[in-house]
Amino acid sequence: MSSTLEVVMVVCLRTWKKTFRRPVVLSFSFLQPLMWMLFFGFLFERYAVEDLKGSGHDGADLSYLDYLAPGVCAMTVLFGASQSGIGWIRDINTGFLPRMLRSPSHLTPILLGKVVADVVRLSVQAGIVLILAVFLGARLRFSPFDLLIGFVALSLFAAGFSCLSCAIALRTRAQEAMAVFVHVVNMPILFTSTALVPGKQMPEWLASIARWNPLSQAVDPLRSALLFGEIHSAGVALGFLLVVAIALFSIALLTMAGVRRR
Amino acid sequence: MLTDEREHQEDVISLDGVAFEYGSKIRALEDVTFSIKPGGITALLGANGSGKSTILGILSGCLAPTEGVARVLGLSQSFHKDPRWRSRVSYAEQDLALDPEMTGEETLQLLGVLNGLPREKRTVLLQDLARKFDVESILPGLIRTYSGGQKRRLHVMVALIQNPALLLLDEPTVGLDMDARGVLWDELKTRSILGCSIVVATHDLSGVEALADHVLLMESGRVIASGSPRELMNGKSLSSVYRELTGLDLVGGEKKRGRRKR
Repeated sequence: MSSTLEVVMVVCLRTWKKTFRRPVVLSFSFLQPLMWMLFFGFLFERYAVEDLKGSGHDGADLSYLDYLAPGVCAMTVLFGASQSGIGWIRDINTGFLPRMLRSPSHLTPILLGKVVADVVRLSVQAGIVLILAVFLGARLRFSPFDLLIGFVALSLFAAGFSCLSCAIALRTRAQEAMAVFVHVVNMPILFTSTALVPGKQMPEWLASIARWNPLSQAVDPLRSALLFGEIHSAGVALGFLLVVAIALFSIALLTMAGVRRR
Repeated sequence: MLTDEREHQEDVISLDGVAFEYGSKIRALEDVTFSIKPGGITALLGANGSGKSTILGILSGCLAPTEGVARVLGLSQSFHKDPRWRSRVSYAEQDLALDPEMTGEETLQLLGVLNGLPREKRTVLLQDLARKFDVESILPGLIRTYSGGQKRRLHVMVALIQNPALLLLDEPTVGLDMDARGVLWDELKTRSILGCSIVVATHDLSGVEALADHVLLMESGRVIASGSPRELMNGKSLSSVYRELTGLDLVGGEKKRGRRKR
């Protein structure tokens, strides 16, 4: 049992070390959310989100930037998680991942180590994005318990999406395919979610898609926590995200087994 | 007691009528049949493209035979799916399977953990191997800074970190100087005497002539002769025996064969 835990830890540590040995990539990952907040924030400065009037602290009106901040936070996680398989493509090309997977270890702790590493990294990145948002003028509330729930939702989303990215990386084994995946999947997921625009202000058909978009499920609890300092009910969202994460984790495990064969 | 004895005598490897095709055109093995008793060093010799690496690929579970049956350590077919089987087999393929962005130390520790070795045992084994292969001073550095010979040594050391019942090595001495080759062959001999069965594909004829217990000569995907080095050589050198049989040069080169690729 302890050796299983050790596998999780050692794979997790390896993933982190490799991230920190590429500081350029890491720092670039903060540039993108910063630009989104700046451009979207200023572009839609006069975009009025319903239900936000007078709902801020002391009855102040909340602005679009306030609404956007948690959305960009979730977007950072979406983009980051969708790229987490890229490292494994490199690992297949060096032959090191096949070698790891041909060891007697079970696949679950290896994948878990990778996912834990990605989820923790993405959560930290999301936290930094929030701090950047505050510096840009977003008025956010930080109530520890509700924020924790929001981050749990975000983490479940990150875990599931990391697994999907890894599964696609292992199936295609090509960087080019990952680039296509990142663009073809991320944009539709982002724009059919409530990350940038509330469901109430979407066309009805889009709103019904957005309701069951996992990104919406992840961003809504976080937004409630950050804007209103309370989450009314996150149970459904958390359950939904958990099911999605488990399903995608299982798919990733299946593709990992295939790597043992050349 | 009787069953124990029978088990001891059971073949570690038996291939029966094995053929293998890369894609649907390139036939790399044709009707290969041989078996290996426990312990001892078996050398696969042959010109480039004769099928040595393909045999090792099949024995390691990386490749599935197109025809025929391969039995390895008592299991046939999909043995690579059994973690207990994997814990008894080590394979160092011809291409270096190392992550250049990790240190040698991290690599050995990681594979040690994946092989389920407890920490103390890992450390002892690692120090012992590092001393023997004279890489103690470079292990804390990133692998991309290593010389070719240092990488090859580390690549083989990773396969040696566990104590396998079956050790499969593909060209382990490529790029090694005479001293390093000597160290490796000594280590292999020691392990084989302790009961490890070793199959090695190589062009290093002096090592084979001096230390192998069994030799399989291969040409165009077939085993054309086998026996102990002494039987095969009959007073001549292995390379002249091979030339008489095939008209080809055994030591010709250590270039990668054009026929194989994942």
